[in-house]
Amino acid sequence: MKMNLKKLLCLLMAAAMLLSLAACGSKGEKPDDGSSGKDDAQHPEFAFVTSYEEIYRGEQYYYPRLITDEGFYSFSSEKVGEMIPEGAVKQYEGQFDVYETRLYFVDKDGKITKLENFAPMVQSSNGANVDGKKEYYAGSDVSSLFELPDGNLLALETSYASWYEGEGDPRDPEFRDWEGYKSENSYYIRVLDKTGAEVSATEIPVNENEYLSTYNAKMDGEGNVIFSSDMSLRAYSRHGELVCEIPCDYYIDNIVQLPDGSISIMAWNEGQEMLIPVDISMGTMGEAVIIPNDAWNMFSSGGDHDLYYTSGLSLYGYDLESGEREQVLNWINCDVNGDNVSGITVNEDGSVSCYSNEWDSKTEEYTLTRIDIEKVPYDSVPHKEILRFATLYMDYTMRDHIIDFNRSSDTCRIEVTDYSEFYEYDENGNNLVDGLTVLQTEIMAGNVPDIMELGDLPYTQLAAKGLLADLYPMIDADAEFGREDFFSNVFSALEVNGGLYAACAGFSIRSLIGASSVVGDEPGWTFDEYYAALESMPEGCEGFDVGTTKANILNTLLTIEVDRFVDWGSGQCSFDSEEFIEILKFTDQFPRTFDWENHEWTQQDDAYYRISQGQQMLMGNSIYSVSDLMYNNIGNYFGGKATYIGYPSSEGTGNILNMNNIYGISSACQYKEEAWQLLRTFLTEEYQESQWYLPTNKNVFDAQLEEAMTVKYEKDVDGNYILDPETGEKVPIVQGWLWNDLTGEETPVYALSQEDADAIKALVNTTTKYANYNDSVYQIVLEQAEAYFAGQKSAEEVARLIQSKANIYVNEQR
Amino acid sequence: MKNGVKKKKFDFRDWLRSLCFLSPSLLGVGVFFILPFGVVVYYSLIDGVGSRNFVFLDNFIKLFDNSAFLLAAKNTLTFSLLAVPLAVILSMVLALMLEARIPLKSQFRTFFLSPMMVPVASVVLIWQVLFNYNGSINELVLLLGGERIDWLLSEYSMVVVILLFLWKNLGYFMILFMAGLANIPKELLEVADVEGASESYKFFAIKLRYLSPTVLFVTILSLINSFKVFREVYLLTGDYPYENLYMLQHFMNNTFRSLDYQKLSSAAVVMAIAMVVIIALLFLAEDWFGKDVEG
Repeated sequence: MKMNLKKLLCLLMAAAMLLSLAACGSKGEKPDDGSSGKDDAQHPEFAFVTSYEEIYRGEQYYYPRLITDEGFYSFSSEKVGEMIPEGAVKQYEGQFDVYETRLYFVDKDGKITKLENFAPMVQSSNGANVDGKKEYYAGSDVSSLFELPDGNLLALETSYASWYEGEGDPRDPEFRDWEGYKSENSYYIRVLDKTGAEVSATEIPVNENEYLSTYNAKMDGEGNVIFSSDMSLRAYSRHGELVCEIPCDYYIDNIVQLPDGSISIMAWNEGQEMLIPVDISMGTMGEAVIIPNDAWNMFSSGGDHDLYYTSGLSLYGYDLESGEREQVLNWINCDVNGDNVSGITVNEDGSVSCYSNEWDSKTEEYTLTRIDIEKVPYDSVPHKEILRFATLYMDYTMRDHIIDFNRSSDTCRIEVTDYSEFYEYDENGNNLVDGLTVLQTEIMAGNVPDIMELGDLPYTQLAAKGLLADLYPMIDADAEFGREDFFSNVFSALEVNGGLYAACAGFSIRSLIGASSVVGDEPGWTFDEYYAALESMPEGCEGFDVGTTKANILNTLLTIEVDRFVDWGSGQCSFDSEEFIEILKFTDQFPRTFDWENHEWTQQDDAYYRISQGQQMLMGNSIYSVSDLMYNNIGNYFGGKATYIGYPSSEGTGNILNMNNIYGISSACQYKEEAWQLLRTFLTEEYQESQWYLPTNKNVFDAQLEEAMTVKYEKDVDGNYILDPETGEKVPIVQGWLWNDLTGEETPVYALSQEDADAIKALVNTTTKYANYNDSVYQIVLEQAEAYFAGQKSAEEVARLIQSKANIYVNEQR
Repeated sequence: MKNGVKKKKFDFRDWLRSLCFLSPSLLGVGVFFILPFGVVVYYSLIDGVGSRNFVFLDNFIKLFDNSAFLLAAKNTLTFSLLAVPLAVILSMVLALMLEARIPLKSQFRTFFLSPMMVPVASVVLIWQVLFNYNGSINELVLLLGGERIDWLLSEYSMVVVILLFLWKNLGYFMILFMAGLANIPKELLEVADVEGASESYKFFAIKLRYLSPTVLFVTILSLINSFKVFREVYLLTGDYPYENLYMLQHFMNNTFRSLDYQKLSSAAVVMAIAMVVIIALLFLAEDWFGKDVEG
């Protein structure tokens, strides 16, 4: 049969129109921000060339407080002696050291000059009895410095003093007369010459108990010093006369001098940061302008913009007229750790100068570096291969490692895009653009970053889809370590279809603690064991904290068990299994809601109190380091030994691994070897020794455990052990104090006990579940489970519905 | 000159003039339908919008291996097979009834057309009130001694949505059939009456043949509307409805939200091909059925 042209056209049109029905709605679009997602072919107009000069390395911390053309002024505390109060016994080194503020000038070459003639307003005291005042603590701090036209310096200094005026003895263990303590603060405007010698000093009159914020004070073009106080702004002449006081309904974050010499404040109100101009001569405030929430630290400098601020990630320029911000540079992509930066100056040619102060915990030294960042045409500098690094949270240490990598690599350069910078909110605080969605959009659109921080991304799904590279072959090929050096249970928890797609340096364990006599000695238990334990408790005893709801428990249990019920690889779900029905039934014993707003909290609601009274069986707890057990003092509340039993589960393994910063490499990355060189850093013993989490490296864990179990002893300055004059024995160093919330007793802790060491070993070795939260699955489960909680449907019916819906969701993701 | 028919000479200026008049429509169709269609086909043949490696049929193979897609396709087909014939037959029956001399004809016509005036959100609200687990229908069922039925989360959910579809569309389709019936030459029916033809003969031999273009049109419209029922289902049951209400539009909408463009594009292309085949078959049927009818 002959089909004519008209009909053929009709068919094509119908097909095309059908395609217009293909999808609707959108979720998160990438903002027009040139700072990320750059295509290789679309390079920017400029590049930044950074030069560094280390100008100081030592114990002293020099923070630039006043930048001049020759360098900067700084002030810091310096130990001036030791003052042991009468009758007091020194328990550790440094306990009664006395510090005073000193002023320094650091020139651009690192030559440090102490302003020798400077003396603080008040002599420091460290708890001694002075002039009949018991427990007298006093001192004064310089908080701001300004350069005066005549070359002198204007310093704002705050003195403080506190003492005990009552009849009691503060050293008596039974002492409770906290009302007997008195305190006072005084504020001074001091003019100093270049040697620090005082030219004049004026006390600023303030009301009793009034607080002046002197750290954010600024000087305007007229020479007035402007402070913020409790809900007001005050301007004083340099002679201490009050020029004006302007009431302010907002919390003042900072004060900024604009390029024209006038003053504006940055204030926080109803979830928004505002910039408000101030007319000091008229004593009035102008109209507030909403500025980005991270722009509370704006300052004026040269360059093209009126004001600048650093978010820690980027340096932004802000234009007052347009109210727009523009990214000047991204610190990490200029090989600078934005967290260490201070004393930023933007020059007329667009170059940026600043200082960086880094603390080395090994040598216990600060390194002060002068940094100059020059803006040059993009084509004028050689370019390396780019590895794109995507993150939603840039760990401080990771920044340092990326900077080190970029400085040392001849072939590759890591360019970081921190997607947390993409978050945008409207004036009502509603989230307009979501950084995570922007990143997911790019990944799903095929624009996969070479290295990813996976903490917020659906790690299991990405791995199952083949978007991540298996790290096991890289670990196996590494000369420094192999799989056997790491906790196999931790790596297994991260495995997807037998491959390891994430490098993880540290982890914490989320658990529930219960009395060993009730829950047993070994971590992990089943639902039946939980019910039996609860049965053994006094009548009316509850399992969990006050305020625990069905949704809380369901969320936690799903976080632990989601991979048990979902096989992301095959798309098979088993929410209709007996194990899941058991979870639903377990969840049903908790209240549906809790009125957090109107609940009147008393000590009777406190977990410690309830546990001690037999009203509560379990307490939530997280372990972040081997020494955490030293300070938990949990045994006191449980009336003896306690066990990290975890959440009940059908498999009996209810402790949860929370990974700290997990990183993966894209399977499409062309420079996997280079990417691995960065990621492997996190698996090295050197790195894992310095982190705050439980290490994945077994050698580091064992060493940390041994260190925590070793009692250390006081030594004198010559390195000899100090002996107790009464017993003649070495004096152990107190590592911390155990505080009993119920009795107020404090007990010194010298080392981790063998019992606690065994407990943490057992906990680390038996925890096999990775906290793999999936909001979509949780929402599907919660939505359907509501019918069961409301008594409308049976757990089995609800489980079948969940199975049906979850099955569709999971298969869509394949 | 043969048979006295003069072949018109191609007039380029006339062709150009026609093109000028047509160009706004052509441009609109080209930019908003043909071009996106081409992009969708292109997306269905590459491995990612970023990498853009040509993978030929890999996306289609994966798609047919995806149980969510197969479920959506099965449900959409089932819904269309049930809802489209019902919509065509019932609207035709209503049109025939209203063509007959019955009282309150105008009121009935308005009554059947009224769902078209109700916004979708209100329709959904009404349906929720009726078919909720604690809704009016279940109250009635309880009164009659039955047990509550979870209409939207059970096997009955398809019935509920078919009812909604029919309620929403019957009026408009009925008007189309009434227009079709009005176009049937009265002389033919009068001759049939004179010849003593039965009502059924008149219906099948005359009316249905003359109505065949309308039947085709209503079927295509109904088919397209059956795909658009997603809107109501989505508002009633969300992203993840009961499994027999999970339509191709759910699959596409959800994959679009998770930005899986390759899966989405492959599904759209498969759906378009299926629609072209179905509509082509309908054209063939109409050609065969109405071949001896003028117009």
